[in-house]
Amino acid sequence: MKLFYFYPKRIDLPLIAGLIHLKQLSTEKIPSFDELETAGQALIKQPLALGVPCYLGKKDLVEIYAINFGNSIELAKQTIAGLHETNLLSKEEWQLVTFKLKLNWSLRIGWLLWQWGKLEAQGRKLWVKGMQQLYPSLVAVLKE
Amino acid sequence: MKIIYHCFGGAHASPTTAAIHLKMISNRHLPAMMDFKNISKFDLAIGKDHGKLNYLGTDHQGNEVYIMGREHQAVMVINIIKEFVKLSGGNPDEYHFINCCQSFNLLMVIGGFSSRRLGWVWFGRPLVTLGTLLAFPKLVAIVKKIWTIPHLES
Repeated sequence: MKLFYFYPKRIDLPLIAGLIHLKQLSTEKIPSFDELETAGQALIKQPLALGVPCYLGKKDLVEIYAINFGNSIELAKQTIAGLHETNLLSKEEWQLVTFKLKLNWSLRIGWLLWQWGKLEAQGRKLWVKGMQQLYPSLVAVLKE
Repeated sequence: MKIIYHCFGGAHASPTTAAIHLKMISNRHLPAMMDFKNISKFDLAIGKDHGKLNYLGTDHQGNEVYIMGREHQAVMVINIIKEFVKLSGGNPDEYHFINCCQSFNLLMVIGGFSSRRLGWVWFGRPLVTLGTLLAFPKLVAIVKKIWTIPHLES
């Protein structure tokens, strides 16, 4: 089975969600600055185009991916459903997973600044701070 | 090879271009307005069809010809198709995507929106048909360009 985490217009949250699923990030405690920075850094170095999945790892025969569909979630779902209908995808189970969370401003602004590159250090710190604040809610929503 | 003609809604430019490709409609002269009634899937697709490959036929070289609506998200939809096919063990290089949007004109936009989005078929269909007729030479040029690509031969 293949499992794709996505969140409207973002790739950082699906990435962290996938790493939590894989137990590469703890569900018991908030990850350190370095742990989160390392996770985000991988995406900053190799930004993904819309619709391109990022393979995160495998757990219990389930392959975990993070993917960004921008704001066109419905269109993306229809595209994948269409591939199944025309038998262009294997019979293997493909699952799209999303979650609802209220994002904080540190996370939003921090990610933008980090990506922009000119205020990279400030952006990175803000993003990690925002992610640490959000982390318990993210874990809780994933446990559901 | 799979040849996929795509445009915003997959209802006018791409079905007409695919019909020219499949020789369901002659490319030697302008069709009559009535001829568009014979084009498979012309002015039929709606929102829930977007993103889905619609098979129209196989050409004389054995290439499968599809049409697709992808709204303003051509890059994302094409990425999803290619990446998911790759993950599924298929060969994404077999998929050849051709954008038909450069043929759009105002009549096609207004007529297409009225017919497909608003459901005013009585108003939109004649407009979009006339628009497609005016765009016909551009659509023929797209197909002729595709026919010259050697690797599309089976």
